[in-house]
Amino acid sequence: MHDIIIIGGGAAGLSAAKEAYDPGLKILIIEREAQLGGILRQCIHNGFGIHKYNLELTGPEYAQKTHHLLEGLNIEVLMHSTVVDIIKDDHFELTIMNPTDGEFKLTAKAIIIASGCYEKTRSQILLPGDRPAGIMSAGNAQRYLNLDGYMVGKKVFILGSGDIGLIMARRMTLEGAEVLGVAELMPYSNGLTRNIAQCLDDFDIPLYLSHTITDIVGKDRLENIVISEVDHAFNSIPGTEKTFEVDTLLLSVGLVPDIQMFESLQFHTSPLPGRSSISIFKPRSMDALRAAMLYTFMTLLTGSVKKVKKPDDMQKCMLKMSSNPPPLNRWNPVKTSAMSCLNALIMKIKMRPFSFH
Amino acid sequence: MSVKSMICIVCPVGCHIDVDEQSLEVTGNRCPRGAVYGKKELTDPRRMLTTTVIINSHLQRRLPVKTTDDIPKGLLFKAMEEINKITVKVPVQSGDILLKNLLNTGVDIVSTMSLEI
Repeated sequence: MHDIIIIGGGAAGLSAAKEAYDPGLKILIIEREAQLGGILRQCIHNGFGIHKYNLELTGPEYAQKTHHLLEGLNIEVLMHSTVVDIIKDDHFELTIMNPTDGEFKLTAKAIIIASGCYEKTRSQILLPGDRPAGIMSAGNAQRYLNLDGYMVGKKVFILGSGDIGLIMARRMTLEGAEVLGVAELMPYSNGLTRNIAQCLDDFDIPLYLSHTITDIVGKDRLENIVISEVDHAFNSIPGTEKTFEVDTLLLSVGLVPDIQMFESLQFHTSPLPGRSSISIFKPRSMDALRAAMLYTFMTLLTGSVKKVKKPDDMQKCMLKMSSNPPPLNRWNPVKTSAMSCLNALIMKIKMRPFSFH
Repeated sequence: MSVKSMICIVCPVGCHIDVDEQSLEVTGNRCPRGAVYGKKELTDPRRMLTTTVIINSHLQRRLPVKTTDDIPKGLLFKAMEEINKITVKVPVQSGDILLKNLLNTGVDIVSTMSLEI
């Protein structure tokens, strides 16, 4: 039986492990990939750690620095392993799979889910048109390019002006692709202004605000996309169509927390579709540790900076939260860039171990 | 007297700054680094470059690298050509110098990831 099992060995999981660490606790991190660091490993651009380390690091450097904080601490790590189910009884029972041991179970008094986000797909934003190859999420393209070494396209268009999209516009351009433009549904960009400057303006890549894709044409590989201007109700305006001949479309249209695992744990879930599903334990089943855990989870989602030190505070905090769910706009995937999201995760997790009953 | 408006890229705040083209006086910056950036952007614009190179690791096919300092903006594509000639063998440590004095800029290319196998 572990005291704490942390699901996910990325920025949030590693930071959570460090904050939760106590020599008397048996802590395990479960990571599905071959290395720790999560998405930071593919974010090869610099700009990480300005607040935390007062340094301008690349993603892999930030991951390594965070990993080094755990050196010498007695924290177990289980690599190549995926959690496929969680059951909550007196304790948590996790069903885990990996290539060497197959399926097996581990138990823990507490779990921290730090499994990150997944990117919204084409079907989640209901893009019309054909379904050829060459349409993928910007983060996927980033992984293919930066870790796997595949150039995903030569003539590229990007939908969504979130930071991943902007970073990929520059990255693809530097690698020799032609990025014809970035379309953004909103009248403003969701990315950092400095990313507009250094990723688009530096390379003369046009940004089409209040535009969206209204048609996709391609038999096997993507051939054309059509973008149209939208009015204030986001309806496309006829006569404003522009056609771009491209072989690749990258989608940078938002992130959704990967918290499917919570579904078996009896939560109240936010009814807002496609957004962060903020889940809350039923108050009667709370003890200090669960509250602490949940607080960490809530903090992951909401980016709340409130520090709660005593179990009593936790209880109060919990009761307050459960009777009055936090405003969802604090963690708005549309407005939160991947980078600032990661930074928020890293900076704002504050969990201390409590005595176990 | 003309003024050039730009966005400071030094930190995520992204101040909108104005730089006087004659006196190189910077306004709108919320920290001293913005003044340095504004001046430099008009006289000698520079950028950090991060990219990847080939590596023979079992774990991944590309190794992320960066310039040790910013390089002239006009050299970015030439620098990419040079960097793309690099191949690296494991083991490699984060911070290992892979190419010295890139295009005579005095800037080196270093690994940003450690890979053992």
